[in-house]
Amino acid sequence: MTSDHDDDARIALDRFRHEAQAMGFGTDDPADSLQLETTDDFIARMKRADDDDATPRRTAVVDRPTSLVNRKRRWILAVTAVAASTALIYGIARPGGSPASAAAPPVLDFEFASAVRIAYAPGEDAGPSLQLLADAADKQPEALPGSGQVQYKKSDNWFADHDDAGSVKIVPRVSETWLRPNGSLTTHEAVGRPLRADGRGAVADAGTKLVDETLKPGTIDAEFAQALPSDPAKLADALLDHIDCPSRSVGIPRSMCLYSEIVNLNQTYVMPSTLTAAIWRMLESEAGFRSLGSAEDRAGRNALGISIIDPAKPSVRHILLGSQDTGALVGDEDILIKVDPNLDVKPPSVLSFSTVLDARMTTSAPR
Amino acid sequence: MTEEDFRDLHDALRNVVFRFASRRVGSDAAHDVVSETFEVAWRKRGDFPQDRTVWASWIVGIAKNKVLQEMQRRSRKHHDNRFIDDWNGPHQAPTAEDAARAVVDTDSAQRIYAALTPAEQQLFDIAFLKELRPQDGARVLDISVSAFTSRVNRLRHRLLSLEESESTGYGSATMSGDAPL
Repeated sequence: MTSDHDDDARIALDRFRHEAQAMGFGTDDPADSLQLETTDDFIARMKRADDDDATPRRTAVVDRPTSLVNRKRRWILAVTAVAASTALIYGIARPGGSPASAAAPPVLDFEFASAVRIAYAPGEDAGPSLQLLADAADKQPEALPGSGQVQYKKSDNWFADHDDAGSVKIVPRVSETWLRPNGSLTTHEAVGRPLRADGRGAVADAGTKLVDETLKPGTIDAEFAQALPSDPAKLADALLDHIDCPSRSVGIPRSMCLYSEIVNLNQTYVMPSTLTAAIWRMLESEAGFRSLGSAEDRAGRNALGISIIDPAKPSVRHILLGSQDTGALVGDEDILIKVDPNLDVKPPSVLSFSTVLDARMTTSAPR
Repeated sequence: MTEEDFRDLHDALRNVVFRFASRRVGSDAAHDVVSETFEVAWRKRGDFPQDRTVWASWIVGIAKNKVLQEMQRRSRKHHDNRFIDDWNGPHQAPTAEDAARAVVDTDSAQRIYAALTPAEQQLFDIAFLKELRPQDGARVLDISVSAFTSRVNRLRHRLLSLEESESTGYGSATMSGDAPL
């Protein structure tokens, strides 16, 4: 039973809506609402977050590691200051730059996270994918590919380029590095080719050389990767020590430290297959990693995506790409999945990627 | 609230929240408003009312706060410039393109909406949601039903006045000359 008062209120509201519609205000769902997270995805995400929150921690206060994004930004700033760059400074979109306007590469389609759902797709339990990658790595020869004592790497990258005036533009770069046994690192960087519309087409040949730099002997520990333990638990300890991670208990902060170390390792060293296998097995015991399933990577290889999102920086999804055929770590990507007030980019958008094109030992390095 | 209840809630109301938020904050931020609203609802699902008829007002009440937070964030000055990377200025208001993508209003309606004060825009967004009854709208704004009805009536007249300005071609100068609610 309704009162006259209720009827008056309902009539007034109906009249308001009717008149507003007549003025041109729409009542249909906007087309963009089709991209909203599905109920299944949302609930899965919340349950996962609940599980992460319930993870027992040895310390009452968990220190957050410096986010990968900020670490990269600091590297870029530091290197820009001395007008130099090395293979380690893979870039990230910086405020003031506009990756969106610079035609950011398309987001890859993953089995469990298509490009349009990359922001919300929860992924699946990473265990089976990590096991598959570890098994594939186990089947590779223990000896490093190639011959010689110089570690040679070639990668196609997409990252921020800073000019002397501080402005930023986004360009593809092909990077080659030669790491000598004495710790001297030579870096060549050249302008890469734009990718195809499907986000692939990374190629080894490049155009104008932009960087030709050699760091003095002793700058880098050339034996570091090969000396790392193959036992997953010991490997985690070694990497956490190396990065001086502020969090040792299992949880996202620790996982982000490990993620950062893995990316840096892969961008610097020719990785032994035993180390790669140990890395995948190590991640099985860590928190927050999810499988995005299979994808064709930017060089056209069959890959599996392993993803993590740092709650301290929830706007970015970090992805490691492992080869289904060899277990090798073939790339990493950062995807913006939520609006970030520090970045002039609309999600979902690729913030940076690095695709390994060649990794082997060689006998010589450029002088 | 059971998981099945929450599933029904999310299924039924995520588009409603998106419609509620997108006209005010644009499409991109509206996606975030939807996510954050239901994240709050998930955490508070133990407190959710059993009566399904009031779910919409509960959810829109949370979304209203999220929209307000977004608006405050946009207008807030960023004083922490210790790190140059942190500086990007206040968040930009949705562009015309954003708005056109986010809502299904005509150009004329978009101009009328833009001429409303923030309080009027908030009232419009609540009152125009067909899923809300008068008592729901009143609950979202934490006012009585009669006060809600009174405000809606004033907003009606304001819209009619703005529409008249539109049709006579006086444009925004005339629009902004009207007394706000």
